[in-house]
Amino acid sequence: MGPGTWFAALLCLSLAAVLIFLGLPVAAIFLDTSPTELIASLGQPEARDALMLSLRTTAASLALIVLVGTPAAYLLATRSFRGKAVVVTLVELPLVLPPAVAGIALLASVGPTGLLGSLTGDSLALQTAGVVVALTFVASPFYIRQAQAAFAALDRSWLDAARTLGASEAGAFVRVAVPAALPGLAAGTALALGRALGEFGATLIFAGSFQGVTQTVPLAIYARFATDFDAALALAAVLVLISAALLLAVKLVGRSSTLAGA
Amino acid sequence: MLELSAQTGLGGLELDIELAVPAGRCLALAGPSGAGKTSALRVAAGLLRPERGHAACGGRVWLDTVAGVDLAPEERRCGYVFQDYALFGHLSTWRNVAFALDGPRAERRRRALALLERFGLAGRAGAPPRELSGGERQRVALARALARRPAALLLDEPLSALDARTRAAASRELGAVLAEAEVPALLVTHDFAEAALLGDEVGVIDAGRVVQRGSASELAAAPASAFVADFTGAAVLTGTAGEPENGLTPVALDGGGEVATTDAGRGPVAVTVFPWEVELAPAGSHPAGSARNRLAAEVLSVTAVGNRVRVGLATPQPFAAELTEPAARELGLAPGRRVEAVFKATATRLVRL
Amino acid sequence: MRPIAAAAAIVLALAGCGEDDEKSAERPVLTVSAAASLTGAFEALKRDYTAAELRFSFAGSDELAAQIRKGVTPDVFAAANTKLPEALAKEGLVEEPMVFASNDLVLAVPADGAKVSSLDDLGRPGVKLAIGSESVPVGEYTRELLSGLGPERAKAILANVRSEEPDVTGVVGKVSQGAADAGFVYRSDADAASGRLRAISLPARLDPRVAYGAAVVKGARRRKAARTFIRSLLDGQGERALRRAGVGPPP
Repeated sequence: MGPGTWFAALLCLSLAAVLIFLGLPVAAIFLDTSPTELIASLGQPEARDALMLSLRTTAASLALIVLVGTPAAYLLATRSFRGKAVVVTLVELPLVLPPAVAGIALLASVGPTGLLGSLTGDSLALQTAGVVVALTFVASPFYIRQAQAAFAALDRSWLDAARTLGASEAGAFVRVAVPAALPGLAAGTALALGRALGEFGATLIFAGSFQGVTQTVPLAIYARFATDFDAALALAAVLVLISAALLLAVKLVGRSSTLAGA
Repeated sequence: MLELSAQTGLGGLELDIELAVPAGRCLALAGPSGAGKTSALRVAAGLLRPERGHAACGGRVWLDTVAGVDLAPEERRCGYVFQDYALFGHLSTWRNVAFALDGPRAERRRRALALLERFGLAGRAGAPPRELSGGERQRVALARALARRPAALLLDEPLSALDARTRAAASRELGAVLAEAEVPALLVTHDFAEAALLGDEVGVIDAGRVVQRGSASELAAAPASAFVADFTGAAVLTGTAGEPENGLTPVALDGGGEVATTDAGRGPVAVTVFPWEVELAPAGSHPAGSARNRLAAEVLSVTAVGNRVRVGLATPQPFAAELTEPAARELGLAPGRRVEAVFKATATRLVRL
Repeated sequence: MRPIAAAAAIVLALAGCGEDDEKSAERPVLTVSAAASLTGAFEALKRDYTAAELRFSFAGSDELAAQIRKGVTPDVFAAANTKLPEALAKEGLVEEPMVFASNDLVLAVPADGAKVSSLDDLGRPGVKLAIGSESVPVGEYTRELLSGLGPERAKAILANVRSEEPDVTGVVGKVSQGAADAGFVYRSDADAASGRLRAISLPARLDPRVAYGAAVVKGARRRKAARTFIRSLLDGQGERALRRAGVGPPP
C-alpha cells in the first residue's frame, strides 16, 4: 500500500466519521418513533400551532432579512468607506453571541424597560412580533455575510458594462448583480433559514413561550421533552423534514439561476 | 464629433489628454500598459471622474467639471466594448445583446437576432456566453455595444483576449464594423500594429499623455521621440502569399513589389519587418547576398531620433528604415532621393489575414 | 504516520484519566442535577463544600427527571417537589428520596412602577402574567394555588397568562425585565433578584406546600459522597447555604 492510497483512505475515513457523527442523531429521531406516532402527534393542537407559528415567523424574518440585507450586503461589497471594518464586525456580532445573550440584549434594547422601551412598549416582548425580531437578529448575519461574499466575487466590469448599456445603479443591481450572485444569495438564505427555524434561546428569553403566540417548534419540543418524550421526538422529526425540504428548495433555486430565459 | 479632455493625478493615475474624433473615424490610442489608455476610455464613458475634464459628443455635453456637469454612464450613449467583453453570464447571447433595448420582448428579440445575424451568430442566440469561443464572445460584445445605436464607440483592447489565429479575422471584421459605423470611435491598445490596422489615426500615449498623433505611417516614419520610435516598431505590408519555393514564400505586395519571407503562409497576408533591420543602398546598386528582399523606394522624410535616423520611404505602401547617423550621412539621404530598401527574408514575419 | 499515532494515543490516554477516580482523588467529584430555584444556594455552596467537588446542572425539575429517565445518571437529583423524586423511585431509578427544604410561592412584581399590587389585580384585563409550564414544579404549584381561588377567578387569571416558562428563572427574568407585569416565583428567587422584584405574599390558606425532595440516583458512581451531600442539606454546610439563600427548612 503506497503513500498515495493511504492518504486517500484517511480522507474517506474522515468523511465517514463526519457522516456518522452528524447522521446518527438525526437518524435516531426517525428510528425512535413510528410514522403513526408522528402523524398522531401532529394532530394535536399544540403541535400544529407550533408548526404554523414557526413557519409564519421564519417566513416573516427571512423576508425582512433578504429585503433589507441584500442592499446592505451590496453596499458592503462594492464600496469602501472609513470604519468599514467596524461595521462588518458589528453585522457579524450575532454570530458569536450565545442565543441567551442575544435574548438578553434584545430585552435590554427593545424590551419594555429597555433603551427604546418607551417606543416599543409591549409590542414586542411576549408577542409574535418579538419572535420575528429574535429570529431576524440571530439569523441575519448568516445571510449578509454570504450575500456580501457573493456580491464581492462579481466581476466589476459587468456592473460597468450594465451602466454603459443604459442601466442606472439600481438597474445594474437588479438586472445584473442580483441574478449573477444568486447562487451565493441562495446559500445565504438557506443558512439563515436553518438558523431561524431552529432558534431557541433568544426567543425563549425575549418573547417567552406561549402556545400559538410565541411557542415555536423548538420551544414546543423543549416543553414536551419533560412530559411526553415521544411527542417531542415526533415534533423533532417534523422539524427535520421541513428544514430539509426548505434547504433543498433554496439550493435548487440557486442552482437553476445560471441561465435565465434562453 | 467626440471631444474629450481630462486632467487628473489621483492615486497614481496620471492623465492629461485632449483629443477630438470626428464622426465615422476611429482614433486608436496606443501605448504600453499603465499608460492611461483605459482611464481615458473610462472618463469618456463616465466610469471615472477626472479632477478637471470636459467631454462632449454630437454637441451634447457629457462632462464639464467647471460647470458641474457630470452625466451618469447610463445617460451618455456610449457603446463600450470591455477588454474581457464583460458578457453577462446569467443571460443568453440574445438577451445580452438586447440588454440595452426597450420595448416588448418580441421586438427586442427581433432586433437582437438581426444584429447577431449580421455578425454571423444567429445560431448561437440561445447559448450562454460560457459556451461561446473567444472570437464569438468578442463579436457578441460588439453587437451588444452597437444595439443601442450609440453616439460613440469605445473599445478597450478589443483584440488582445483573442489567440493569434482568431485575431486576424476579428481584426478585419472589426475594421469593417468601424468603417460602417457613422459614429466616432475611440480604441485603445498596447499593440501598435493593431492600432495601425484599425485606426484612421493613431495617438501614442505614454504616462497619461498623448506624445504624438498622426497616421500610422507618419508615426513610424517620423517619430517625435525615441519612445515613439521604439513603440511604433514594425512596418506592416499587406499582400498575397504564393506557393513556397526553396523554403521561401513569395508575397506579392498590394500596390506592387514582391518580398520573400521564410515564414509559411498562403493567401492574404501581412508582412512585418522592423525598421532597424532594413538597410538602405543607393538606387541601382546590386549588392551581393542571397535571400535578400529589395524594394525600390523614394525617401519621404529623414528624422533624427536621438542618435538614430528614421527614414520614411515611399514604397507603394508606407515603409520605414532606421540607420545610424553616420550611415545616413554617408548615403547623403534627403527627401526625393531614390534608394533601395534591403532586408533579409529571415527578418520578416508573416501574419495571416 | 507513527508520530501522529503516538500523539493520538497520548491524547486519548490523557482524556481517559480524569479526577473521576474514586480511589486516587482526594475529593470526589459529585454531579448534582438541581432545580433552577436552587441555583443561588448551590452556587454559593460550591465554594464552601469540603467533602466533594460539586458540579451542578440547573434546569426545571421536570427536565432533569426526563433526562434521568433517558439514562442520564447524575449522582444526586434535587427537585423542587417531592412528586418527581417519588415517581422516579417507583420506577427504580433513584433511591428513597428525602425532603430537605421548603419554600414559599409568592407573587412577584417589578419593584418600581408595578401595575399589580395584589392577587385581585391579576384578573383585570390587560395584565400580563408569566407562570411556569404545566410540568415544572413552580408551574404546578401555581396552578394548585389558582384552583384554590375558585373556577371563575382562576379562569380570569389564566386568561392573562402570556408565557409559560420552562423553569422559574424564566419567570423571574420576564418580570424583572418588565416584559410581564407579574409572575409566580419562589420567595428565595424574589429575594435574590437584586432588588428588581417585590414579593407579594399569598394568603396562608392558598399557599401551596412547597417541599423539595432529593435522592441518590441509582447507578451513581459515588453513592457514599452523594448520601453525605444530601445529609449535609439537612444539617451541615448544605443546610447553611440553603438558609442563607432564603430557602426554608423542611416542612
